[in-house]
Amino acid sequence: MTAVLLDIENAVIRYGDITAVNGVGLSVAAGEAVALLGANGAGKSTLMKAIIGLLPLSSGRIALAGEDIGRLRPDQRYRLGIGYCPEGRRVFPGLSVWENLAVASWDAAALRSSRIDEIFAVFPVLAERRASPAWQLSGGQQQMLAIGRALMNRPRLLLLDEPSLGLSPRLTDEVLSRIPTIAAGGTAIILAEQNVVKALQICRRATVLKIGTVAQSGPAGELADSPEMKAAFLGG
Amino acid sequence: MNLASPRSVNLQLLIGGIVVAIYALGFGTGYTQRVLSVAGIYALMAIGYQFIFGYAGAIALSQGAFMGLGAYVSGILSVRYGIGFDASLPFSLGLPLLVAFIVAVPVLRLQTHYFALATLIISQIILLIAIQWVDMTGGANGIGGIHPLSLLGWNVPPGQATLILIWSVVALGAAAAWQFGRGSLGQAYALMRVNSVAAASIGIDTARLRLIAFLLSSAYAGLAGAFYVHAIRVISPDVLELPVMVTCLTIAVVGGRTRTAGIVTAAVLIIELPEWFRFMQKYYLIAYGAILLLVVIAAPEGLVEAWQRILTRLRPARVAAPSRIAPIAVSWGHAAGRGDVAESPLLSLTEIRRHFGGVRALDGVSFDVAAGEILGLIGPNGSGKTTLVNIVSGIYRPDAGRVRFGGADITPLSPYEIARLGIARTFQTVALVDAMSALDNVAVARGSGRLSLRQTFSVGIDDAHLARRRGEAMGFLDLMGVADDAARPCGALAYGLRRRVEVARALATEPRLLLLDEPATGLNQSEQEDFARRMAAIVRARCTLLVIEHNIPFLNAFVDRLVCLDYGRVIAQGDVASVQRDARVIEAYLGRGVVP
Amino acid sequence: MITLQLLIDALAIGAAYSLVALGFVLILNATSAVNFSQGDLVMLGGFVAVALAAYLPVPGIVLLPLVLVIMAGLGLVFSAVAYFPLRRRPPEAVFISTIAVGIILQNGANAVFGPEPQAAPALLGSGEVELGGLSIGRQSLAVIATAIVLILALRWLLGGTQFGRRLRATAQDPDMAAAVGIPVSAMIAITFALATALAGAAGALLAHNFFVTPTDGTNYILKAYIAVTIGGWGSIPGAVAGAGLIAIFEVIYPALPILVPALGRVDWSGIAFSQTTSTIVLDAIILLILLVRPQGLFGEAVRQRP
Repeated sequence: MTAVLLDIENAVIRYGDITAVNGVGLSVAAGEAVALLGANGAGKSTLMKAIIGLLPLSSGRIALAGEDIGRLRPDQRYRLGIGYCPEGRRVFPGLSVWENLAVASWDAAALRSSRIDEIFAVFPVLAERRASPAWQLSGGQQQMLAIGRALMNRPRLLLLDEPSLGLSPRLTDEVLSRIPTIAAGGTAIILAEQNVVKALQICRRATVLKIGTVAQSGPAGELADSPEMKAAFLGG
Repeated sequence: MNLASPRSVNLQLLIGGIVVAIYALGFGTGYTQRVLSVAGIYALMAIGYQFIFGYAGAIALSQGAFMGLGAYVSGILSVRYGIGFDASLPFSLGLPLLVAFIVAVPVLRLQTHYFALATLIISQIILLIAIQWVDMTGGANGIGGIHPLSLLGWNVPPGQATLILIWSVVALGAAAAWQFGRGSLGQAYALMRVNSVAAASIGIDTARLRLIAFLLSSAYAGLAGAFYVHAIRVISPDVLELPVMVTCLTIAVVGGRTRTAGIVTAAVLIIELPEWFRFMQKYYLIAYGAILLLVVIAAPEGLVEAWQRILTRLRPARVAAPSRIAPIAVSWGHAAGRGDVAESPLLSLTEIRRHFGGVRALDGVSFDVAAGEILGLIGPNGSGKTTLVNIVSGIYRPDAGRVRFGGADITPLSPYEIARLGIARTFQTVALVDAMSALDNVAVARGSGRLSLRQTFSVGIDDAHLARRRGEAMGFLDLMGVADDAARPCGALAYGLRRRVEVARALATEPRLLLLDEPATGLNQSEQEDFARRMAAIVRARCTLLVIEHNIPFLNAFVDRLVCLDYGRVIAQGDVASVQRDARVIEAYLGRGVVP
Repeated sequence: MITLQLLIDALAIGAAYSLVALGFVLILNATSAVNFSQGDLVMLGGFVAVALAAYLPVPGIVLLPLVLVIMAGLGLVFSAVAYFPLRRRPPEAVFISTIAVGIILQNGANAVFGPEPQAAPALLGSGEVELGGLSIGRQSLAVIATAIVLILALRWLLGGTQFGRRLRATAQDPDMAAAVGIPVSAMIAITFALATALAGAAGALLAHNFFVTPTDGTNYILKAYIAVTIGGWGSIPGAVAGAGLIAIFEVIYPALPILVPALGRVDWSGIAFSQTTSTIVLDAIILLILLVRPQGLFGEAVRQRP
């Protein structure tokens, strides 16, 4: 039985006025890919932000490899091994591609260089534009840069928040197709997506959020066929 | 009355003031009286500063310059042309007003730091002109021998008489400021400070409000300047230098930005401070800086507010049951029932395009909304729904395309103009004034088109206009089912209730078209169902509704038609059932490969 | 000949102004806060140089590193007092708090040093140097050289070191900077230290030829504001360019009657081209730019805030 890497118990998160997450539990095993599904406003992004520490838990517990990380700052959590790729990419616009990757590295210079080369091997298009300022990149390229940046520190857990947002179907395929490779390397992944079909193809398990609570949870194959899934999104 | 209520605190300050007055008039030396006179002059200037800094919420650095202008005009007219204080008043008020008006129009629309910079530069220019124009102003040395205060021929002797005169004017000025903030106008400013877009969306002309505030500030400053120059009998560029502005700012921050009683108290305290602490005479400005810093960090709403909070903790107020206000029925000013045969669509969008940076948010969107219908605008995240609504309500201009409302082209209009034509809206993040009651938040919308100084100053203690607006507001709160919470401050209400208050406010403008921007966000299942029922019932009888949502099950319950956007284009429109089954819609939401 | 002389003077002033504007932009980028006391920090740097010179009778160039270190330390204190307590508040709170600190600095300097203008020691000795038939002020040359060194050092720091990259990332997106392991608060504090050190350098450089007075601050903050407005709000190279343009204007405008003799013969040329009028005209031009194009002549630098 694989060890539990991330364990969230009864998370309640208040964001501004709203209780965006209301008693959600989630656990991810080492090396496992889990899909986090739900309509907009269901609480996916809020939950991701709480895992990396950009939002505090109002109550509940988050543990990484058994240790409670609720009090840690985002930069501390990153260095413990959580990589975060936010909704909307948010690459550092004035830094070049190479600098965006370098800035996320906490290795010595030589190791940093070789790690960047490894990332370039996964995303060759970034290597071609290594000196371009990030704001000049297209949406798809920025998305790949954001994922690469999150991987720089060899995280144990990678959080991907809606990587397909704003991307054409072809680009979505291109970006999401890299994910199994990353997972194969041993990194656990939480993929929050509105694109249900793709997410269920890539991940082994899925949790569906609805207005801040868990509506369904289970193996990807089962969820893919369920009529409740469609109803939750389209009301039909 | 409760010790911690605003009235009680004001009374405490008043008693303190009377004690000071008795001391000054009865036992004070000429010097004490003079210092208090100066305090009164600064109080007047700071009360004036409240309008632009407190009510309009803009950091202006020009108040000292306006006071200096008033002082110079009054002083020069006195010395060179023998015109007394009272006769020169039209000019000592007029020049600051004129300068304020000239600079106001371009400067007021600048954002915070640009506005502060522009006012600072203007102050600098005025100062340098005063130094340079030696023939008129006496240059760096200034002019001495200015005649004392005179009123209709009577020379006001320095000391007691001057003190009483100045403070009488301060009392009048304070009363006027208090009256200004008391009614609908003050409420409108409060909303403008919280969110000026929301204020525009209920028909408030925010540019005009800012202009009024800026002009009033300059007038008060000019008056203070005129008093100043006749009280100290000499005019020099010192009065235009930064320390005067700094003192004014300190008084305003310490006293509380909209708390007139606080400002008056702060003025006395701040001006007296160097007198009480003799050693500080040389360092009093350092003390001002330290006080300003401490207050901004620890008591950002001013010392009086902080004092009130302390009292509230010691003696918590018993919440009295508020007397229920009888709702006044409003017959909506137009007919938009569903039975109407619409000759032309109520809202018509033609080929709307808009990009941000390199992203095409809207790429040729066209559709119509018929009068009396409920239309749902759906689409996944990033499809352009909110951008579209922002264009319809006037917040953005489209790059191409036209928006027509009732046949008229509204594309170039500004948000408040569009609101006044009958389009209301709500926002994704609820924009209410937390400190005001739900009732007052809605009441602001009832008079937004009729705000004026004349009306503000023509009401008595029982503000009949405000009472009527509150009554009407009550009716709208009733419609949305929040009448029971009418008297509670919005900051204390749960999210779902705040949502409803915001909708009530939008309805209170009697719109022909209501735009709801993702109203289901943050509402639980039962709240959503209640909301849908309510909207269906209200809207069918009164106006047309365009709802943006991505939550289709929610919309299902009450919309007539759906329009679906994806990547800035309309990909489907029609009745709910057929749009739900449309393959492109399913693909947009769930991705390719889902079996319908 | 005179033109060249003027140009060198302009360059020297421009170099010092650049340092003022750079410090202002660094804080602006890192915190979105306008530091209203940046000018007073420049004044403080001048007085620190003056004070040090009283104990250490050495050339200014030796004092400069000391000034930088002392000012950097004061910058940390400054951030702790005027910025960090107000981080969660609306930006105008920081605006007011920096105004307050400015007042304290101005009047503190007045109390400690008195209101009279004082001079800091020259960097490498005063007097003039003969270069190709021209005599050029030593101090002017030294100021230009020092400023260039500091600006290049800053450029290297920000562009070529991991630390500098982290500072820039913090300025561009503090949340994402935290999410890649950067300790954001520490970075901001260091940015304040850097900005204050640059202000101090500017003060020390300007205080020899132009003396330092406690009330200089208002003038310098206006210059910083203006430079940044011209060069583009938030742009680092823009700030330097803007500072240069201001300096050129300040030196050339009063000299117009000499450069264009026709102007010198007019009656009111005394007043029209005085230093004071020069400032009025500059201020008026900036006001016009603000009203017509508030994002600056060259537009706002690329900075996306989510």
